[in-house]
Amino acid sequence: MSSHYITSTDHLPEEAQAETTLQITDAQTKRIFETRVRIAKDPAELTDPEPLTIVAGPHESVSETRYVELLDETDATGIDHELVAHLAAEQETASNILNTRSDDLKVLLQYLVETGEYESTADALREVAFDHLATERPALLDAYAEVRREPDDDPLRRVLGKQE
Amino acid sequence: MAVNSLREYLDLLDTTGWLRSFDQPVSWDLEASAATMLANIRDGPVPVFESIAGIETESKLVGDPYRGPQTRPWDHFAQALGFPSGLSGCTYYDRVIARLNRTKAPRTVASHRAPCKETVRTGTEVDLLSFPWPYIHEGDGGRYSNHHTIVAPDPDTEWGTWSSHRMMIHDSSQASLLLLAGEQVPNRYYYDYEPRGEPMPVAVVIGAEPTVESTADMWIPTGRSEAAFAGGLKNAPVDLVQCETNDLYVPATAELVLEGHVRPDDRLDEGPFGDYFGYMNGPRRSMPVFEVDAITHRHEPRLPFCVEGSGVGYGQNSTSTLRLVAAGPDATVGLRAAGFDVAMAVPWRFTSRTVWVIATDRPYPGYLHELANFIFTTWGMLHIDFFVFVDAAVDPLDPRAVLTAIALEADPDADFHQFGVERMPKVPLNIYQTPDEKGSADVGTSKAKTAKAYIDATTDGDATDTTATAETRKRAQERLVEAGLDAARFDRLDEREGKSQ
Repeated sequence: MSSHYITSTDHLPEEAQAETTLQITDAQTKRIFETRVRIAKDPAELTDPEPLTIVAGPHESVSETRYVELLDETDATGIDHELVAHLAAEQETASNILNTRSDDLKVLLQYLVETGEYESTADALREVAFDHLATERPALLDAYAEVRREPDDDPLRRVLGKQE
Repeated sequence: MAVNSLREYLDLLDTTGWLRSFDQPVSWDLEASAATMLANIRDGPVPVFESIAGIETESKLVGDPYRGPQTRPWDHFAQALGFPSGLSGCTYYDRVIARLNRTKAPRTVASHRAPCKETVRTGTEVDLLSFPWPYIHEGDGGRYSNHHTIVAPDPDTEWGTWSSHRMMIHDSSQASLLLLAGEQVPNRYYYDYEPRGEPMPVAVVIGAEPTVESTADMWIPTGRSEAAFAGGLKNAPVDLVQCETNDLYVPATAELVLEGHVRPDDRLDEGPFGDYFGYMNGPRRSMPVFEVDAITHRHEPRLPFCVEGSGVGYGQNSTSTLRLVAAGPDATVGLRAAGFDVAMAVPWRFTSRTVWVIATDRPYPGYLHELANFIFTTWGMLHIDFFVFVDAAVDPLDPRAVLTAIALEADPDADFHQFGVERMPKVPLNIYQTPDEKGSADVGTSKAKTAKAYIDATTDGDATDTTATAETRKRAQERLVEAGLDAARFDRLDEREGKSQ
């Protein structure tokens, strides 16, 4: 891991914001990856600042230095696989009931049930949420599917594995 | 007899003193490319970096292995093809053209007989960053593999289609490929696989044998197999072996093969890159993503790379040399097949793909215009801006002869022709268009078009024969060599396929 990073001005968020997901290049290894970062012009604003060279111009021959603090590393899709795996593991021993409070949502879901589209509001909520995630967050679903496929995360297989 | 692998070719260079191995650790980060660039500019031996600093690897880097000597760029490749040493450039072209006219189908070998399968890595063993990909120019967007052959599916040929597109390494399993629409492999992706939402299987073959490497610089007609042309050039079948994770076949003696797929609807940054004109070239583009599924390689793989930008002016590099020694003869074959009786079509040294010289007779008025029109509308003319037509008797490999023809025969009023203004496509890697003119350049050509031109430097009337007879010239050159002049300065001492040159 380097102590110096590079990014293009094209990748910076349009509006100034301290925390963002950013594609950066490790100046030492030249590995290119996306990560959650905090950016600042003054290193004193960050806990663990590293220099960030921001290249600009049609041939990227112009540059300025800011400072960056890496929060966690995500892959190119922006998904933190470790977090997904951690949450999936936690869920093995946790309740699978979701709670939410909303009169409006209750009315809308109830409408879908009354008109025969779904058998229950819980059924409607599951379907609508999964459909939304499949359309809007396919990478997150893929990452979760990958975690679910890993044998180590299957409690039954783990137990069977210990017995062998 | 032609060589069968990059290793055999490097051994050949070693026996003639054109190889230099560096035992001391050399960094992949600019150092290997800097040493290679110096060798390219100074006409030194081809460098092999045996030990890579800062990384535990059995791989070795080879800088511009196909660069030929500045005065006789075809010499090394002629040796690779098994030709006798000392051929004139014209004779070299004749012999290569003869081989290209006799294609040979490849043959398949079992995996256990393929050197490129000595090590097979799949699944979690796949790690692109365990290889010392060079960071070639200060300001490049990343580390590159830029001296390889890409194998992609082609429904019209049994062995897929081969081409070359540079690749920027992102992480342990992903890279971006410079796929500019208009060429065969990019078109296959953009107009076939991606609209169907399917990943396109691809193999990136690094360190293939010389004739395979050279086909990437040729214009092989659609529906014809590059593998057969490589076999013709080699005068023996090229051995192919099936990939581990897809149905593609790859050259069996390659140093390293990256098997994978190009994902649909996904892009990663590509560039900037110090391009072949010798300048840093932006902007960074969004290009298709190559995801690696398996890596197979020989023990101690030799990874060739090209210092693009060092092949302009007097310097040569691998790509400028392969253009001269392979693309030129191939273009000559293509023009003859189209009915044009050209003697030779040659990329003009020093101009880095921009200018070609074509030696041809001019049997009737308007012939050159027809020829230029055919080329500009048929070939992949994105890189070439203009041609110089010279008489068939002029050696297009001799820069002095070409300049003399332009000076004496090209009438500034009548012989400089332009094909309209801003009508022709242009590859967005050029340096004379502004970023706005290049457009977003996500795919294909520049937003703004360019003009194409040609110079008619052929004689207008009956040529006055001011040259001595071939026999007299040959005898005079032999006398000069006997008197102590370097024989390498003369390229007319051999016999050109039956007639004295």
